[in-house]
Amino acid sequence: MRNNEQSSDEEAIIRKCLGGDADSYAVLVDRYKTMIYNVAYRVVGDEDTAKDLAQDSFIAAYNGLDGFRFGSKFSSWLYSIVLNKCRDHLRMTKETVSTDEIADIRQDSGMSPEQAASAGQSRDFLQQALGQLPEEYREVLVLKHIEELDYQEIATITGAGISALKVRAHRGREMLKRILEGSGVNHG
Amino acid sequence: MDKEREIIHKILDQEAGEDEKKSIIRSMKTDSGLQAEFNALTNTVRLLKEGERREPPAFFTAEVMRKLPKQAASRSMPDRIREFLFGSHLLRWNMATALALAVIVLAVLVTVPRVHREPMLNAAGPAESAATVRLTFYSPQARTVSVAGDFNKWKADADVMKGTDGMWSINLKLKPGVYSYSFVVDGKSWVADPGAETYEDDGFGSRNAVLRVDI
Repeated sequence: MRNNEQSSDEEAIIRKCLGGDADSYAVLVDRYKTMIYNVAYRVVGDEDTAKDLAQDSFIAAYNGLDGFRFGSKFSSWLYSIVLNKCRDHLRMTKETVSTDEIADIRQDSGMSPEQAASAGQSRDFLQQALGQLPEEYREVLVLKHIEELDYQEIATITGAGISALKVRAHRGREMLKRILEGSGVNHG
Repeated sequence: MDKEREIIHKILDQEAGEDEKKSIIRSMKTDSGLQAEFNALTNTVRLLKEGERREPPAFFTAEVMRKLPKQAASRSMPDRIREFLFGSHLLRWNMATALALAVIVLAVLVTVPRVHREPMLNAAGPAESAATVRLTFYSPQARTVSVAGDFNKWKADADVMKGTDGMWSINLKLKPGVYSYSFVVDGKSWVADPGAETYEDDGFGSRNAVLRVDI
């Protein structure tokens, strides 16, 4: 579906929800659940928490549908809600990376992620490395390189300026590279 | 090296020009350290792009739908009445509606005595009307949120938003026009509305949301 068609289709669904047809919201949840769940997972690093945060995000979006600005992108709005949920969660739990986890990364020394995957290991190298980044660097890398959004849209979602986002991406990539090298992941 | 590293990041952002790409390729031929740096960063980004995309758990959608509040997502009744009385409205016409209305208007004009019509025709036109615009912002950790913009001379404490479960909202009565605005979180952080249709640079390296009000 092209962007314009999708946008008008989504606006029609939102109007239906506002008119009292709550069931039609399931179409939007189905459409965006993978995207929102994966963003939450990459930011908080835990599947169960990601599921809860993603579901809470859809519920918060539904409760705020009457404030949705027609003409703007529903997906951008959802991204901003889930990121706020993640930030809130991380702030409450005061996320820390345990020394055990860092030791686990080092034990995998010399194996590329592809090799690890093919060896049947379930450890997610990337997730462990992302978890060591400052939250604001992690957010930008997830949106830019995993969700493949442009800086304009990321600026819309996060409320940050484009030049600040580029600096965060630059620093985040450098830091991620060092973490991966330090953990012995052979990604060169 | 710093300039070259900057160009590498521009390449990773897909924003490097052809000349910049050529200059990096030239430099890498003679600088193995730079080549290694480029490879490592490129592979870091490749890992991000190729990271496994996980499927949400089974029954994800069903669980969300079950958790939705029983009350519809629509506005509350007092809000609806206020919106109906004071808000702007878009009327959707079809031929039958237009004809029916024309017949009613004609009937009224014919039946109402002329003496009653003249004062109405001479009456002054209505004052320029305002539309009710609802702004919302989701920020569960915020303690206060207000909106500042062209419409309140950018006073951060003029229009304080009401918060429920992290969703902050406010209804503003605005005359037709184009307004820049920004949310002010906890009295200090200025955040552009993520739900705005358009934005403009604020001249300080950030952006303001732009709102257009039509009647």
